[in-house]
Amino acid sequence: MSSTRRQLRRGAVILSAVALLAACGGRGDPKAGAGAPATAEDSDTLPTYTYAIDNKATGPAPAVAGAKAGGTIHVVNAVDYTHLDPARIYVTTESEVSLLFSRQLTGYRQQGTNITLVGDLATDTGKTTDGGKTWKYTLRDGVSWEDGTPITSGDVKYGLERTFVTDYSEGPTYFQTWSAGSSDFHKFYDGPYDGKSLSTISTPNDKTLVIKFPKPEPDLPYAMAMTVSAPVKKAKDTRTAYDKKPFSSGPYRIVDHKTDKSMTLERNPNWKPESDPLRAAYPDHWEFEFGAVPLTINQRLIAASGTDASAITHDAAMSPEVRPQVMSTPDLKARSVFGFSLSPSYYSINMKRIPDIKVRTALLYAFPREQLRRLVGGPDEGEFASTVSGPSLLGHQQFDLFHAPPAGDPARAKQLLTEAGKLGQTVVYASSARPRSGQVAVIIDTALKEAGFNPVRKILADATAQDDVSRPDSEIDLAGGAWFPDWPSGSTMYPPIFDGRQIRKGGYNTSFLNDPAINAEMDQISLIVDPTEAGRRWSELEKKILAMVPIIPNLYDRNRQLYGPKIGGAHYNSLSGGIGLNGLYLKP
Amino acid sequence: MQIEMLEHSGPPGPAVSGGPNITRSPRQIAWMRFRRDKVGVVSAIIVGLFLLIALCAPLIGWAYGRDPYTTYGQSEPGLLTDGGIPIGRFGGISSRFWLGVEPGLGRDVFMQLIYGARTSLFIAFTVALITAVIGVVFGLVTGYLGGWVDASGSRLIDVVLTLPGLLMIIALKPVIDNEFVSPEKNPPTWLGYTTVILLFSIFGWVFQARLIRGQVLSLREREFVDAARMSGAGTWRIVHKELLPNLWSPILITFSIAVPGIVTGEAALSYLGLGIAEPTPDWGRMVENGANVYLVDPTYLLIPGGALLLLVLTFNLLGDAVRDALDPKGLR
Repeated sequence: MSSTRRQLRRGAVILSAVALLAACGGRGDPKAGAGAPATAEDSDTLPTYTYAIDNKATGPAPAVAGAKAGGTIHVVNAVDYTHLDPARIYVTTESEVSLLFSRQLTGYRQQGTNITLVGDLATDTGKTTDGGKTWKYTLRDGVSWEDGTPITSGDVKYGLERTFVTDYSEGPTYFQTWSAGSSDFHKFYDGPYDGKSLSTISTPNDKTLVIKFPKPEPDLPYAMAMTVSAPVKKAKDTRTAYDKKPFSSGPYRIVDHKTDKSMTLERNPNWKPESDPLRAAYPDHWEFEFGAVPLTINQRLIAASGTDASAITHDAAMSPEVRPQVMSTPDLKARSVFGFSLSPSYYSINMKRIPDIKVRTALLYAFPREQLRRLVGGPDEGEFASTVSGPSLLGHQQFDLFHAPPAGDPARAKQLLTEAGKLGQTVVYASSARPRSGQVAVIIDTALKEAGFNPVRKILADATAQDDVSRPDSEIDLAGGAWFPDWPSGSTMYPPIFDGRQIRKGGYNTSFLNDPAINAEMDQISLIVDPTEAGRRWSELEKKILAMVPIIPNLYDRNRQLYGPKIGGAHYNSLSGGIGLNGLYLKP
Repeated sequence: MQIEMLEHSGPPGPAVSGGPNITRSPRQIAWMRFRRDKVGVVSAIIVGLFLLIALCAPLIGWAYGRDPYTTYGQSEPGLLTDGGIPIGRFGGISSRFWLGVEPGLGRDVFMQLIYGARTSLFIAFTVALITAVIGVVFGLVTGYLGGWVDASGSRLIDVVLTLPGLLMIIALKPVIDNEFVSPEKNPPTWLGYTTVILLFSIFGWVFQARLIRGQVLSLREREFVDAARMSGAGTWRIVHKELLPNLWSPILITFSIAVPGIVTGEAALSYLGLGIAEPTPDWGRMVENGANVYLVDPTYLLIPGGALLLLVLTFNLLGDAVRDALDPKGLR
């Protein structure tokens, strides 16, 4: 698979990072390093996203200045969307494209760095009267399917029931786990296909949906902003075929979808803008094309001939090969969206194999982050981080516990290692067979040897790397990773990577931190309903955790994507890490 | 048949126009023909230079004052930009770094290149030698003995020929690497060499073997072999004294054609990330890295690419010249 494909799974370690920076990345522009004037958009400071909840938002969506309706937007992608079935989507690009034809209970309205959670199909983000155990949603007026029939609370219930089907296991599992009160939710309920109904949801009438959980779940409004809450019409449920062509509840309907080749969307005449606070839906048609090589896609967007002038790419990041050209041509640079990833990448240290905190601290001081960044492209690749959470997380605080220089401090590392009596400590680090990984290995070997470590490069296959670094008897000491929370609350940020009970093959706690006090504190904070208070507690916990050196914070990755000159309203969607589809229009 | 040069053949060919009364051995005649082939001589000199440079790499490095492993650009400011691009024209070529600085890592390109030549040529010559030995022995045995030995030997050759060599190597290389390396240790450098040499040899010997077998099949029916057989010579003597001397030209020619083939094959393997691992310098890997940066630093792609081109081209031309010298009937 091409390494320049942008396919992030929110709430998942990206494997390219496991391969220790082996993925994309290229050479930065030499001029940028020499102090070329940076535009405000390209500034080095991380944006601070503000999250808010608006329970009064109504349709239509805020208009984009100068936007015009009509025309066809072309999307040139490297690969087809694996899933379009709302129960099976977990990848950011899929959940974003899904918004074109599937509505949800709630959704995010993004205006610059202001991200607001609003009711989508529902009039608000959810009402609770008992601290998050019982939730009530009321559907908006005038919401309808592509055949003109109204969307009912029964359709939403059926959609949520489908997420329990064993065959649709790819999606997030928050709702199912909360409903069952345990992660083994298939025992509790296994989907609507044998006629059973989910007992935790009731539909008093066609407009009202009531959800009752065994425990308070204050984060439900966020969980419902994922595709799982999209309605599915029982009569139109084509089961596994639904993944290719879901029945539309949004502004567009799928006319045709040829797997791995193309997909055509046309305007859904039964969608009413005044019923939808999220979707601007300016173009009349979307033409998707799948299967082009990322470099070719970038070159086509640069050339912008024919329909490519009105084209974007949804999954190809800017190839390192074209970066110098784009960065030195103002016209091209202006035709790119740019932003930071939600949270920084890091290197996790296996605390089971390296239990001595002095050795881990030495490793942190020895690590050559600046040399590695220079290898993959320099400042254009990202900014150095000192935390595990990003500025978009509620309650996030910027702090630096160690003040380790980006280029490493081998003398200090060696001193710590000597104090610990572990000079010559073996460090097995995860790597891949890709050529870039070999260069990464040269840098890591040089730096760690200088600090008195004995580095060992372990080449892992891409397909099994996640299992290799996460299984409890893992033989890897150091592996790259990144975690993007499913929503901006600490409860989807810290437990997956630092809760000792989450250690399992295929899991994401790759530092194997298992501290009973920290596990218990996470349980406590998860129950706090007030988001500000919870955010403060999570940030305190983060300080406590990072003081134990389970990870070496690395980089806030920068992402950049090109688009055609006729595209208007292009913006960086911080939630998906690339160009946002909503609000795009065609310039005359 | 392509190669007809026999030690017992008749009068020298028309290309030989030495003095009327001088008799020359076929070897002398071939040498004379070769010397007159200007392209061949130039190629031989260039190939010789490559070999010399490869052999003396540590010596050159000592005189030049740098080694192929130190990441100069990472530790010395002013060599690489923040983005890892060499500062200065033509990939940072200067009086200190004759062929520039490697983008990203900042190693010395000149040192990488000559140590890379060592890697390429060592592998190519070793494989060519191994395949030649296996091929000659196999071809002689099957060709001369005939019967069921020949039948089964030929089937074996057919089977190996049906396997796509480079594809098999790509598939087997990671498996072998994983099998022999303990998780707590870095794979030793010799293991990388051994697997590459082994895999290329396994899939390379059949070409030699098939050619030699064909030669032996036609040779063993010749009068001088019959004569030797009738005068009571044993199998070993016939093979050793009658057949082998007549096989030197095909052996030499296939050897000189095999070497550039293996050089490119090994480079392709490294290009795909399966060749000799870092930090051992390698041309294929240099080309791969160069391909990523060719828009900003074309020099870094051109240097190993040009060296590879020159080596393979001159080796092929040398192979042609050797064939022409040994086989006048095969002249273009």
